[in-house]
Amino acid sequence: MAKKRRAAILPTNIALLQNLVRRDPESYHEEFLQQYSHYKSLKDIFLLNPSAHDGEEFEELIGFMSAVCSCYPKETANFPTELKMILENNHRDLTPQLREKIIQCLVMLRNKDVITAEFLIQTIFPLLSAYGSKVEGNVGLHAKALRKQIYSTLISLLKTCNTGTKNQKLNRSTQALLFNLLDQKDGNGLWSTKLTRELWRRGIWDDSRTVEIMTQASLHPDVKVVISGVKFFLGADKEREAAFEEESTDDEADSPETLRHKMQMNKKSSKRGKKLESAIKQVKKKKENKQVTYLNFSAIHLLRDPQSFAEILYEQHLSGKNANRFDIEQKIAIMNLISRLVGTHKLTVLGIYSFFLKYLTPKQAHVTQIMAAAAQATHDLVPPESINMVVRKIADEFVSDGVAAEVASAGLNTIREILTRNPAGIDDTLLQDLTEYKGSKAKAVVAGARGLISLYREVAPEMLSKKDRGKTATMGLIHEGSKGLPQYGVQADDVNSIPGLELLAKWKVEQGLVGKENAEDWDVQEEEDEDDLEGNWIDVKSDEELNIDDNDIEDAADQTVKPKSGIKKKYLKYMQKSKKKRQIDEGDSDLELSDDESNGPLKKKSKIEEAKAKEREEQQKAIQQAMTQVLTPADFAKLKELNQEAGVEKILGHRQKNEDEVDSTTLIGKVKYKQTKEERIAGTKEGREGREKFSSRKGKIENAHSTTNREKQRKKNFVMMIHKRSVQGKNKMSLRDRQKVMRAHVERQKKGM
Amino acid sequence: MGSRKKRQEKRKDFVKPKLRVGKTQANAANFTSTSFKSKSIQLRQQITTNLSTDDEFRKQLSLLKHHSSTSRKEVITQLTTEITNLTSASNFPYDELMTKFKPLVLDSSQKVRESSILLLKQISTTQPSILMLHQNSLVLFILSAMTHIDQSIRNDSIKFLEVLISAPSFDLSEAIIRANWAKILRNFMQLMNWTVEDGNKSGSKSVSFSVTTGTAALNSAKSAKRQKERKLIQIKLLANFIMLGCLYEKRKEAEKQASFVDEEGKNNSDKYGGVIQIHAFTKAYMIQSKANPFGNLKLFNAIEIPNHSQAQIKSNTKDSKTFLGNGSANPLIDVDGLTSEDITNRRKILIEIFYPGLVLGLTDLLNDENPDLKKVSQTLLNDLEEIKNDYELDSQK
Repeated sequence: MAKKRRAAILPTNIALLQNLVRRDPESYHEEFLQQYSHYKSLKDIFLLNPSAHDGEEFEELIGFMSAVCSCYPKETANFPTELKMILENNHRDLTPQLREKIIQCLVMLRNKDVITAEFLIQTIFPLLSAYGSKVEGNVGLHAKALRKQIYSTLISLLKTCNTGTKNQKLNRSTQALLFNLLDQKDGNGLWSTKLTRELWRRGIWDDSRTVEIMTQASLHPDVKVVISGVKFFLGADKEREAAFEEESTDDEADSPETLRHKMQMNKKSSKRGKKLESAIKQVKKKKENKQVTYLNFSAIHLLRDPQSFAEILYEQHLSGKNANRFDIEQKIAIMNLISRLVGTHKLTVLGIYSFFLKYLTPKQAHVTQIMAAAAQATHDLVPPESINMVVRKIADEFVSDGVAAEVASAGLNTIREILTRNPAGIDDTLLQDLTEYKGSKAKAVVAGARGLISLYREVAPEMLSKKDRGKTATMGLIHEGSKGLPQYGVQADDVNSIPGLELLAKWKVEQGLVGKENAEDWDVQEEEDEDDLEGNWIDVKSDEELNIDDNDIEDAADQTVKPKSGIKKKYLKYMQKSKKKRQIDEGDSDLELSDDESNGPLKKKSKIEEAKAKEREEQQKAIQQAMTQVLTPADFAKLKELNQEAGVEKILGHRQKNEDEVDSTTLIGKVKYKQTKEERIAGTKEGREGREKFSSRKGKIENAHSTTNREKQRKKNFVMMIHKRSVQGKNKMSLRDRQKVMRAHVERQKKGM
Repeated sequence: MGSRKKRQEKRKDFVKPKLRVGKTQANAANFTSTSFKSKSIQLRQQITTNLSTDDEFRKQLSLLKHHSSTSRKEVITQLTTEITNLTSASNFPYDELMTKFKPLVLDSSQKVRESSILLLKQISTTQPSILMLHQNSLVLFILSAMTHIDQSIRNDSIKFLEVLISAPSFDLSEAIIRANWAKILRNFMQLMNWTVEDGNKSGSKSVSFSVTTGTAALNSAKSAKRQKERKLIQIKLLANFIMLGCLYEKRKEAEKQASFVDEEGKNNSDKYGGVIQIHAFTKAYMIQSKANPFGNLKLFNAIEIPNHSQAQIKSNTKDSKTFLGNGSANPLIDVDGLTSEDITNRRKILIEIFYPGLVLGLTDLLNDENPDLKKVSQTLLNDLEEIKNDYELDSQK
């Protein structure tokens, strides 16, 4: 009986029916059909006069239908399309709640895999532009809430579609929609930048097509869209990194291991078991969600045609009167982007240098950012005249005795940054003038001038005045002659070998590792770089190596005369020198051998020489070995370490840092002002963090407790204590009392207590 | 120790007052008199019961949306009496009344629905033309009520339909029948819990007939009785509906012929009888006298019927059974596309889709104790048989 009763549950409201239908779709088929026809008739009523309808019941039924849609795929084949039609044709007549509900239902259908992601995007995307902020007649339609809903829907949809493997088809079609949005000349393009930026931040989109969208946005006629595109290039990569770091750092409270351990210790309960299960599930989910390949290309590197992009950006937004529609901060953002592009890709946009001149005055707002941009825009392929112009302007405007310390230091630092990138951009008189500021009173200015000096000591010491050159640079000048400035248009920094190879060889000799190849060295590599795409080391063989395999020293030395790929010139020189030396040494040792018996000390000496020769020989062998062998990752690690020890980087001179950003805040240098009171207090408080206050503990109760005996004693009423002996003292005792006490004392003594 | 007087006064408070029958109780000590004297009294507003101007009508109509069901009901009854008393010349806003009236079909309160049925009856007698104007949307609401999840609303929906179908003017019922034949039949079937014979599921049909809303309502004897009454009404209406849809013209023709034969017998000297011959197809080329004759073309509908091929929907519409060119999964669901403008189509729909279910349900009812019910269902069965014969004759041609 009970069972029958249960079977005959009658739906009296939609929610109940929904529950029943989902549990047992077949049994409730009739009821479903009834509600479906109810939905249809309601839809007809609604379509008859959409605006007059309040639609609460309709809303409820739509929710019901989409919830049970997956149970009856045949009957409800048309349902999603109908929803789409309503949304497309009547979206302005719908009440905001109903519209929201329909979108929600479509998302639900998508989650149940009833409709495809493309279908959903095609349905809701047009609404985004239809309810744009500038479209009129949206009053009272909750346009903002709608846009927000659609935006978050799109983001989460793309996120779910791209977990695991990327859904390239969907991505491409969505990107096409975004491109279309940007083709229109109104503010709706902002949505496309917003979406793209968010997806980039989450690492869902990271290809050059995405960057292309932002390129178009940056060249859009609308100011807001332009700035949003520009900001993307300037900041999106940092955002992305921050997002990923955040993701990796947030840890769960309990890992499954600890929970399992706890389960063993504690009493078992179903709740704990569930906790463990959920923890395991989460870990699994995390593993699944982790993207397998994540190539960390920054947006600027993925540009398809940086040269023309930078040129058009400059032409459209900065040159002539075009710049007037941007305010100064926006202009700076654009300048910053162009200079980043120019610096990173070594582009030629000559107009920008003269453009900077206008803004390089100390009174210009945000001048440090402009200076940073000027520095970024410099690289070694820019004609020195253009750079000279900028440098001279900065020197004239910023660096003089009459200006404040921070102005001068900013000027000097900027000039140094510029010249680091292209040392040919200054003549020696100006340089020597600027270096004179090393004698300034202000610390920041001195630091700036010294920076310039140390830069030119490495690059072109002959341009400095004699006293500024310093010991090493002067000695270098005397011994090797002047290096001269790197010439414009001449490629200087070709890399044709591994720097520091000889150091590795030496180390190997010392360690006695020559000729031994450890399999472990390779194992390390396998463990560490499993994901490395270039983990295949087999193809590196070449003819020389085969030749060298027979361990013939002479042969190898002969070969080194010709320049070979993979061997450094310097190293060749070193080889030749050592070869000569060795021959001389051999000759010496021969002589000494003949004089062997004649003098004892010489004999000793010859032994040392012998040892030395042996050592050299071994070193030769080691270098040979290093050349013949394929270097293991362990070798590379050691090489790096040795290089650092020997300071090879320093010797090799400054690396070109085109891709680095110039931080505008550091350009001013450290200028110390007198602190205000608040700052001082803040400073002292900073030191006190995380320690207890220094003071007496007296009278402070640590743990809650009742009154101690001592306290009771102390607080006892005075009248009760006044006649006590402890208060009165012995002196005031009466004679009899004193006698009593004495007696008692004597008694105790006798008893031996 | 106060004076004696004071003491007595104090004692008074504790003496129980004596109440006497027929005498008013003495006023309490803190009684405030609200009476006042005035030379004249002015009334700023006076509520009158008889409605005369448009504004007052409107005011009343707006009360049809009142949240309290009793006040809605009162307004409706008031309106009913108003309408009966009104002369045809008065400018009562019938149009507005109808737009406000329609949602009352779906009203949650039974009292309101009952009184609105009365109102509808009243309107159908006094102003049939206004119903004609609004029949399309009104039927939509009735259809929606017929499938409402609340059973009482479903049951009452029949009464609304009955008012429309059995209205004195045939035009109204005909218009409804022509436009909504299939839908109304479908909803009827669902209302009666008669399953439509579905070719696809004939094997596994057994699932759904045991638990339906109809059977489960037979809990108490009282409700069972009511149920039977209701069933009688429903069957009567259905019979009437089917008769009007498929047999009315035929019977009328027959009657006419009978009378014509009589007349022929009476006066053989008809003026035009032999002279003017009307061509058989003339009727087809004349301007239609019926309401909305081309409605089935759906020329003015905003939304086109969604196309399967357009929609990118993951569905397996691998259905062999197609009905009238419409490849749908269940004939019950997709009756919207079917035209029922002429009698042949109506017959076809009735016979092809609903006939088996109807016969099954009606034969069930033949076993009922209620003689009236038996009788009605028997006649309906006969009618159906007749229609089927006609249909077969038609299809043979």
